[in-house]
Amino acid sequence: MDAAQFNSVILPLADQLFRVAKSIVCNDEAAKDAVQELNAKLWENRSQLDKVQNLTAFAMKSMRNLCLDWLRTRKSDYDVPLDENLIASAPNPHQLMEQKDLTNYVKQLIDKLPELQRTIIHLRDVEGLEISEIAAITSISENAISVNLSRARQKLRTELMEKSKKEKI
Amino acid sequence: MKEIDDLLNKYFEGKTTLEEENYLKSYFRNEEIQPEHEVYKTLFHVFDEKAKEKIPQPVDEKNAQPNVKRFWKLTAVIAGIAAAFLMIIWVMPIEKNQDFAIVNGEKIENTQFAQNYALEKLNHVSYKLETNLKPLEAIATVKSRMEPVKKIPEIKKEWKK
Repeated sequence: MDAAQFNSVILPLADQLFRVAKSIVCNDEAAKDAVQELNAKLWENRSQLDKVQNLTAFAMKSMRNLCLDWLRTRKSDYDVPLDENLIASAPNPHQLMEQKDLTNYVKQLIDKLPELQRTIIHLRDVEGLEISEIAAITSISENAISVNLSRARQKLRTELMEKSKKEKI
Repeated sequence: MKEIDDLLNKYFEGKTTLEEENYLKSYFRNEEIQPEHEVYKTLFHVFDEKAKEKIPQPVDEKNAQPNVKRFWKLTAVIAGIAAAFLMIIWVMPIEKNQDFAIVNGEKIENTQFAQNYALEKLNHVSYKLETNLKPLEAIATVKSRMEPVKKIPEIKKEWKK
C-alpha cells in the first residue's frame, strides 16, 4: 500500500476508530492518542496491508487490541476514572435518579457495562455492524456476540425501567 | 403500536436485524412517540449522538493563545500605529504656519520681508561666486600663455639634429 492508498483508505477511518477507542477506554484524550498510535503502526506496516481483505474490520480489531493493552498498562497515565474505576465511582441509583440530564445518565449506564458488552453495544448500535463483523473484530463467536449483546441491552432496559418507576413514585 | 412493542422486545433480546434496528431508530427520532416508549427514547438518542462523534482536531496554537497575550499584542500594534501617526503630524508642517522663515534663529512671518531677505542673500551668493571665480580666470590666462613654453624641448631636439 502506497501513501496515496493509505491516505484514502486508512485515514478516513479516524472518526470511526476514535469512537471505538472511546467506547473502550472511556476517555477522549486516550482515544485520540490511541488513534494516532494505531495510524503510526499501520503506516509502519503498510506493506503488509495489501494482504488484508477487510481493512476496516482489521483496523477496528487492531484498535480494540491496542485499547485493551492500554487499559492493562497505561490507564494510570491519564488522570480519569476508567473501566473499574468508573464503575466504583459511578453514582448509585439514588444519585442517578437526581440527575437531570438523562443523556448523561444513559451514557454512564453504557460506560458501566463490562468492556466486551460495551464494545459490542457500540459496534452494533452506534456503528451498525453485522454480528459476523463484530465477531471478526472481537475474535469471539457469533453466538457469544448475540448472548453478550442481549445481556448488555437487558441491563440497560432494566436500569431505564427502574429509573422510570422511581420517578413515577 | 404492538409492532414497536414486539420489535423492542426482540431488540432487547438481541434478535433484531440491522434493518429492524434502523426502523426502531427512525421511530425514536420521531417526535410522536407513544408514552410507554418514552423511557427508551434517550437510549436511541445517545446512539445517534455517539455515531456523529468525530475525533477532536488539533487546536490551532496561534488562535489558542491566552487572551491576555493577545490583548498586549494588539495593544502594542495599536500603540505603534498611533506613535507613527503622531510622528507624521509632528514632522509635517501645518498648512497655516507655512508662511514664515527662520533668520538667525528668529521666526519671520512677514512674507515680503522674507522674500526680500532671500533675494538679497541670493544676490550676495551670486556676487561671491562671480568675484571668487576671477582668480580662476587669471590662472586660465596664464596657462594659455604658457603653451609655447611646452614646445621648448621639441625645438631643442631639432637644434641637436
